Amino acid sequence: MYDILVIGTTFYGLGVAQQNAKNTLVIDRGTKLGYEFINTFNPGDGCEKEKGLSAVAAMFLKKMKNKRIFHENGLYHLPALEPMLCAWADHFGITPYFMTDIVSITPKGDGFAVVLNTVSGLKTVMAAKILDTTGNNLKIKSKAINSLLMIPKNFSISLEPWINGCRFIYGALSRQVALSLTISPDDDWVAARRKLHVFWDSRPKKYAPVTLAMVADFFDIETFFPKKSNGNYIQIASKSFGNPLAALDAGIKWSF
Amino acid sequence: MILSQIYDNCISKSCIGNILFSESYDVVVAGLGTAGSIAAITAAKNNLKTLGVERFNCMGGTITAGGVSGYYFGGRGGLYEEIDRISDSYQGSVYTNIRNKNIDAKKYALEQEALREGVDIRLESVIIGVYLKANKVQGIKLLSNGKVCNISCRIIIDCTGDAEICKMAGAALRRGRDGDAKVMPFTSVKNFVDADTIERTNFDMGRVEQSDVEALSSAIVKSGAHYNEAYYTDGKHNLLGIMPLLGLREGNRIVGKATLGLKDYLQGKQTDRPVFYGYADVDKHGIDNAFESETMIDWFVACNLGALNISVPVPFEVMIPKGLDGILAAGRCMSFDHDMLSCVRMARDMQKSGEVAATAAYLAITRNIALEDVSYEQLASILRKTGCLNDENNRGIRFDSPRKGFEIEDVYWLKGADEVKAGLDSDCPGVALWSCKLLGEDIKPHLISWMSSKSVKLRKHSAMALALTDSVEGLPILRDMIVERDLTMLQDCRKNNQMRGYIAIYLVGKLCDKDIADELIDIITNPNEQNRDIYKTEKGFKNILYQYLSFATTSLVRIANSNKSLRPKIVAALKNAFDDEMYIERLYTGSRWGCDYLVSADLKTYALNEVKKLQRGK
Repeated sequence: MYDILVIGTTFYGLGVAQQNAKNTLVIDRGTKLGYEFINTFNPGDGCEKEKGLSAVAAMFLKKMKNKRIFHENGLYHLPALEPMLCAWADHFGITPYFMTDIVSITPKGDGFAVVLNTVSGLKTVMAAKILDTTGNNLKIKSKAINSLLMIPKNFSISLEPWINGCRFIYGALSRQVALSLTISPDDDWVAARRKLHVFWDSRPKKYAPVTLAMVADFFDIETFFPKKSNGNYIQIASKSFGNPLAALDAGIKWSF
Repeated sequence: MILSQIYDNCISKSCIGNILFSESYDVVVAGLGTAGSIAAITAAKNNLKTLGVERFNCMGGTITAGGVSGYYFGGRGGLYEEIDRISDSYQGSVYTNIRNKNIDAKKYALEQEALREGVDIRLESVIIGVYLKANKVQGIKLLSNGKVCNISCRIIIDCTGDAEICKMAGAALRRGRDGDAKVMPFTSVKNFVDADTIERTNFDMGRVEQSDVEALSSAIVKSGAHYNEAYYTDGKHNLLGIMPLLGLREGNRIVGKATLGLKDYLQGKQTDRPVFYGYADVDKHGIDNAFESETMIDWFVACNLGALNISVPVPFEVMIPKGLDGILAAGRCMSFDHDMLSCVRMARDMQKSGEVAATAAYLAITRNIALEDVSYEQLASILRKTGCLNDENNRGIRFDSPRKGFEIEDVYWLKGADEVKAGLDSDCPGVALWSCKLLGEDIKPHLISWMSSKSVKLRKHSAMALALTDSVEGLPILRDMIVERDLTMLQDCRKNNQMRGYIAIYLVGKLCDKDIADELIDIITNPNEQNRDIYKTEKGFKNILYQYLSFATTSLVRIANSNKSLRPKIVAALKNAFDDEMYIERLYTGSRWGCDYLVSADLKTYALNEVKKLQRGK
């Protein structure tokens, strides 16, 4: 019996797991850590407050600064956060079940019997509590598909959104910019990629030299109610904490 | 009706009554990766009602989510080329123009083509059960969008890479190499911005049992951690991301109606009914060559032919799992042996395999026949029209390179003594060595006489050739090569050239030469071995030292197995060498994870297992 089954290898989920790695099972259908920020190319509000951080989170921030992942200007070199987060998780003995889906959840005794589909096949695990950090089952407020852009060295025009639902997110390095395109909450990946492709294909001519360098592997989602509780089944969207460090810190401090 | 599922890696079959299928398809393609995406599009193009199921959120597999977007050899022609043309047209206009294929352009092109042809694409979905009546596939149990449903189908094409669906259906499988079931190492791909383009680099991280959720997940985390460098930008190269799909080169393979093996191929046993040609070098990854098959070591190490390309006619029967009806395997889980898979797993050829499987499915369904009864002539005729099967891809054996400007050299095995002699008396004796292996007794008298030559190359390479024909006359020269730690690298290949010293160790082991045992024991037990000049130029992981240690170990085991009187001495030496892990520190001092550490640690596991066998007298 696990003390807690965490759904989502998010910053918040990993923070919770760090408290008690041996008795916590973290699962995700993907293969990434911290994807809700890193792999959407959106660092959130980017506001890293040092005051009040847990010791573990404070150390994490220090490492980010030393590695120039988080800069004094408050901007991130987000792709670089992934290897650091992997090393951090490995250090704390957090080994999630990647490529894992939930088939069913059934209340049983004081907890839950959860049938998972993993690469090993079906597995039933028992958990006293379930914490869903993905926000996938909360009502969506906005959904976007993002993409890192390739801005040529000699391109000097400033990027300005030309329609509603389009914005640019800046990273710490020069020419590090992501496009964020709002899509419908019901759009699946096929629809989303098509919208992105059509949108960028019809961009203003002055932006013609700017191309899509890497499309995000995860949707950028904001939910209306970031927290929902139903007995021992709790949903807290990691993205709702505003930025990676705040989400990690909140997870580390979360009380069972 | 039977529902067959996998619970904790064990197959579980349950008898169920009548099942209500909510949907019905002609073909279900499981996995929309390299092979599966083409299979699904081909099936739909042939007006088959097609369902494509993919665990990830995109099509393309290794060539998109895995980031291995460029092509390494393989054959031209077939449907995939049309899709590449579409994908390439988006580069520079919408997606960044890069040297290889832009993965997002390819994802989009695959999706749009699949939709255009009418494929029902279910991303982020997985098959969790297979329905069968006797041994015939009837349908699948699908988990998609959090819901479970039952879907009937006439044919499943398993393109999961790990034969997951075949396994679920109860097919017999093989895994890895014959000796220890180890698979090729996987790689992790990192993308970075370089000036105005995107480049990628990949790093072999180790081996993983991909159907073990904990092992696979741990491999993913540790691979990510490997890139935890001091800084992520040097002002010129900025990290863009680590690809979400590990570059798995090998997993489970079906036991098919036919199995394609490298040994048979090299002995000239090739099908005259190919459905496509594989074309590449025997691109074996992993440095632990000493544990490969004899065929592989003879080819890759002793004859130094690792970068010699071969053209492999692939028969349809390698896609049909034995004992099952209504299911095909396409992609790297087809029925190849481990050695042959190294060659035929290239992206172009895997895409072709998807097209072949779907075309065969089309013929089976429209003619209402079993897959094994599909007419080769009809199948080949369709595949020739699309270019998937093209005899021009049968390029024979040749030295080739993916780099432009390389002068291609067609290779024909040597028959005459003069040409063999000329080959052996050179820095590139590989073709001559393999030719001697084929000529056998016929060339032996010449080899014996050439061992008296004044030419060092001719003497030594003749001794090597004799050993390859299982003749002992060359042993004295081979022993000398070992004692001197012959550091000459043969020069046949553009990559993976091998060193004469440890080639000689392998060959004396092949001949079970008891007179070299003491020297080999010294190699594995003497802590001063690592101080020899031959190893001093090595920085980081000492690959040459590893080759000496590993070949010495495996040769000693062979000698011990053939010479009972030497067993106690050899057993003692193996225990002395590998009881602790001091030998690993002689090889390198890096982290206790990753390819280098794992192959080093495996040496101990092998040695101590063999000690147990020798002590039991087996």
